[in-house]
Amino acid sequence: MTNASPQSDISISDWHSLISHMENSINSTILGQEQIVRLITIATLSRGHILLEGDVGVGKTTLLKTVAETLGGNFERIEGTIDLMPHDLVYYTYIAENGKPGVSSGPVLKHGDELSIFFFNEINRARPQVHSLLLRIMAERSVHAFNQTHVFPHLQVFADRNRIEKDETFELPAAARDRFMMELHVEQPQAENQLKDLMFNPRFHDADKLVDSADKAIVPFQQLNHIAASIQDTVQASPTIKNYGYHLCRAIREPANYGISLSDVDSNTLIKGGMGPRGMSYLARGARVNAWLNEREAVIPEDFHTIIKQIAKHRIFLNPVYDYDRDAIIDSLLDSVLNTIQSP
Amino acid sequence: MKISAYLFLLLTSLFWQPAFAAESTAIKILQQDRGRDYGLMVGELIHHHYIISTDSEYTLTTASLPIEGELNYWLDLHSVELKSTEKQNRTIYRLSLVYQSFYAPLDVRALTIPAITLDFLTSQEQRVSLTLDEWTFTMSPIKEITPSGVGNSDGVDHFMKPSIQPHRLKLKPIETRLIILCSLLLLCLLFYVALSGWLPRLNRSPFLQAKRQIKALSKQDLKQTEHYQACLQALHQAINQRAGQTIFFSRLDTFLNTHPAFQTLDKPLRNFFTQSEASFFFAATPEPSYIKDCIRLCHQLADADKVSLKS
Repeated sequence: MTNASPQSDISISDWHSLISHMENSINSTILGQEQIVRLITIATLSRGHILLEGDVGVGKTTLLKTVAETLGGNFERIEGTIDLMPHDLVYYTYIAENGKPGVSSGPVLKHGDELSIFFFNEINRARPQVHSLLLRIMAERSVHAFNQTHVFPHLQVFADRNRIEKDETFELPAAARDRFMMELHVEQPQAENQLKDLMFNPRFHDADKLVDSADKAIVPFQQLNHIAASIQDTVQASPTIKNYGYHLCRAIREPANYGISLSDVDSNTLIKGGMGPRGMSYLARGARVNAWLNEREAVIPEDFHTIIKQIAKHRIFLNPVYDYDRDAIIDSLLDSVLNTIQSP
Repeated sequence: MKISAYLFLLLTSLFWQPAFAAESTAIKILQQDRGRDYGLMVGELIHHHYIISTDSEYTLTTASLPIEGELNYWLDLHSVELKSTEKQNRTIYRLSLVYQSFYAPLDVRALTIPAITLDFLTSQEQRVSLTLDEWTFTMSPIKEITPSGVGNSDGVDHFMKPSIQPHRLKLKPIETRLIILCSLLLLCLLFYVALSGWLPRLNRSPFLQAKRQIKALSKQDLKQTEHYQACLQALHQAINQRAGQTIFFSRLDTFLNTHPAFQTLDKPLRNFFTQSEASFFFAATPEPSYIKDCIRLCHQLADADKVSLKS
């Protein structure tokens, strides 16, 4: 991943100001999503993919477009539909002006290795075959087509799923969900003045113009891999914090072993799986990035707290008998874990 | 003439009543107990009890009571005790006299305790006397005149006898009471100590335990990171225990809001978390001097903890 990235010629302090500039630019374009923007920043600097979830019309697409604009690079978007097939991502066929059939690169291949953000809208409307292709793109950042392997070293996948409608949808398989670093729940802003602004300020009425008004290519996307690796190398994790992070992950998987009990739930049989090594790794990477964003040289427990729900929630698999109240049980489990595990 | 003279004498004797006889119904000895009058030994106490009934108009003159002390060379009046009660227009006097005889007879000897005259006064200052009769008793020797063996050349003084073993008082009931009272006292003390948080295991405040733990740990070399961190960890655990959940630096404000008794310690608590973060997460060099502050903080937290538990 990093071998395709040019060495960064930007100093660490300059990177801080660039990231701060990027966040400010997004926040001035998208109102009331400061926390989501910070989490997207953490995922971007951890080189993790993001699954977005939320009500309709809360600005998910506008947010992602703005992020793509500020990061620079190329942005591609595809709508998940029931008849979408894997090859639709790779190529499309058409009748050319000369009347002959033509084949062109699809959204994934169109920009080659310059592809920066790939947005898959309503991912759960696509078939499992499409999910399967996406799995490879996310895990290996490459795809094999036209007899060659295409590599996308700077690719970050954002997907959106609509959990309100269930008809003609395909739930993401566990493996696909696990490949997303975070699942972010986007809600509409709560502040009255922000909602009034969104309602009456003409600036927010045209989404394309709004996105266009954001500062562009603030962060050199080609150097993101390098700065991401550099953050992981420079931010320290003491033995105490490693121990804490490890026990957090173990307690999520084995709550009964840590004396965690939830009301009306048998802790021994609650968890079926999830929060494996990939999730643990994402947690550590995200914690380091959060420490770096807060200009700390080492990770502290609060760095885990900032991201643990977004990292752990979608990769925990409950015993099916508890799925009816999944969100509340997992929230309660994570709260109990954070209240129980001590550090130091 | 002679016969008429005898008849006159007879009649006058029938109708004349002497003063004492006139008062005998007004003042009389209802009961008297003077004990055994034989076989008394030298040094023995002689108890005489009298119950005297008088009309309520008569009052015993206490000056007429015998005076305690030596009556003669062999008899002491040990004590005189008088109690009186009023009952149906009569006064009942209970007089107890205790004599002690020091007469050491060589054979059985009759002795007499002299009579006592008690004076009673009416409200019209009329004086009436009552005599407690003298009492004769016999005293016996406590040894033979010549014990067998006297005159032998065995060198033994046959007049000497071994001392009588002292009479043992029954201590069992007192011992039982003492044990019960001591146990109760101990229980009360334990209860008090537990309430005051001086018992290590029944401690009400985890900060006192942390203080003891840190004091014990601080005897080790605090320049070593693990010893220094163990001290900090003890206080962390106490804070977590009091909060009922893990308290991180970012949750300190919430902790202080839910436990207002500790709000006065906001500054030292923040300092503690800063020191702890530096040591545990930023690999800072241990500062052994801070452990004294840490112990002081434990003490202050324990004091504040009592306040919070009372409120």
